[in-house]
Amino acid sequence: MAQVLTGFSSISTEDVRRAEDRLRVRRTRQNHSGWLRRLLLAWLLVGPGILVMLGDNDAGGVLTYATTGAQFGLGFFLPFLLFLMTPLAYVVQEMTVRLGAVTGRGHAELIWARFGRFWGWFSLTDLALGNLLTLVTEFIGMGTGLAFFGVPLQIGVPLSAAVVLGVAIFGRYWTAERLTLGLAGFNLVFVPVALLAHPDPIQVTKAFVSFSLPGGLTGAALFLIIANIGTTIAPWMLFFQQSAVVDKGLTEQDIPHGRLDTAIGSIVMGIIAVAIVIATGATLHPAGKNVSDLSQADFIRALVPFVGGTGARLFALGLFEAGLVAAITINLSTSWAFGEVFGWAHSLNSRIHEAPWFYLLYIVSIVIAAATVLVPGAPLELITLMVQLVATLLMPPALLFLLLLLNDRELMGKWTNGRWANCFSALIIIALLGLNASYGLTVLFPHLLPS
Amino acid sequence: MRNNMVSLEELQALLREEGRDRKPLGRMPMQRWSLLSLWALRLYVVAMFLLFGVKFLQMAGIIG
Repeated sequence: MAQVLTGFSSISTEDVRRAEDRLRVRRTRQNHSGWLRRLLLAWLLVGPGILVMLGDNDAGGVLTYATTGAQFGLGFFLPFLLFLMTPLAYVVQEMTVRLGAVTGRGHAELIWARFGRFWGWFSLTDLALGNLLTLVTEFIGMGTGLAFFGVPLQIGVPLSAAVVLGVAIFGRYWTAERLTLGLAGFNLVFVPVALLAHPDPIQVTKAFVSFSLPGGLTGAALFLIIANIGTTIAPWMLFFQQSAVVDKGLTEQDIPHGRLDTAIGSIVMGIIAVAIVIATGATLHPAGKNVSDLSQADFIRALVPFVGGTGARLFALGLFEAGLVAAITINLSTSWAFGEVFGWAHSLNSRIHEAPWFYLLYIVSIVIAAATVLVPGAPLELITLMVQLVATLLMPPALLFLLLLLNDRELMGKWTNGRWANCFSALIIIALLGLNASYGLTVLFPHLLPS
Repeated sequence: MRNNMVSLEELQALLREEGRDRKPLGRMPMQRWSLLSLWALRLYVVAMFLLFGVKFLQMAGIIG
């Protein structure tokens, strides 16, 4: 290869490795037809969509869904998550596929270039801070999951950090993506946990057709609605999927497969979210367990009498995996964003010495987050609140920038948003603003809604 | 050459297809509604910072 490229100093290892991956796509298009072609192309082109969605079911998300089930049982939140949040996640993330494939640029780079330094810095700082804090919560999740198997936190957390580091340093996008996809498969362990909870099928079916919120709109219900939305669509997801689409080298021709990838990911994400709500909604809720103040470890222990040791171990494994995949994806979104904005080499196809800043940021973030968890008396409650604050703050701006970019005809050409996509996105932004404002009001006036 | 190795011609074609020879981007031409939405966004950001600032002060016990 080196011989072939002699004299072409502008072509990096990154380009060559991406081109090798793209060549497989091109040859599949040329040499195969029918269902085999579709199957092979799907295998080659899926990845970013599934990863972003399963990364989104992170350790904090697992706890949010579990708390939701325990507090509200098998009611409102099942159809809310499956019929409302799953399509919503698809609609938002599909836009990043188009934006990445058409422009060949990441989200941070586009905000910086098209909206200037103020919004560029705002988005980047918010993303970096939010991701770092979220990363801390992922390490808490991973450590708690491993602790259930008898691994002390002091060993579990560094071990988790080593795995998060190890996945990204192969110098090949394809390898990192497939490894993470393999790990993300363990997210499905929550489905057997839900089955072990022996939910009443009639009650589950009824839950899906009734959209009523038991007890009406209380402060706790509003908080959980916002938390569930915040868990399903998060700012880092926009940055991650767009950058992953660019690093994978998807083009306009691949957009249908990018859509398929995103659809598969969002459906699986919805099913897993529902499984977690069922697991606690069919067990802890009828038993009247108060779980609002439980830590992740206590949550797993509280499940043992209902789903047995096997169910609890699967839940712990799922929690570890959720934290692991989220740590990889969330952290990558930061490194990609900084690389795009500051012009560093920023590809998983680059070796460490070829993209030193990209990998250094990835490593430093992991070390800081893991070390924070191990510090005795670290303000973890404050960190959790900060995660929520930053996510709440950044989501409407991130969505607005996404919408503006998708309407940028100069940038998007024939892939510019249609009227329906614009209406749906505008509705999402207005709904988010409304919910955030309501939550803000309940912060200022705690007795505004019934407790 | 291994089956999955790239010839120079293929590499150049793939890089072109991928749009890696792109030009630098300028600022987005703003329409009235884009400008309005960005101003609304500024107000939103300030409001949310104030609201959550109150929450932090409450958590720190500085205000009741």
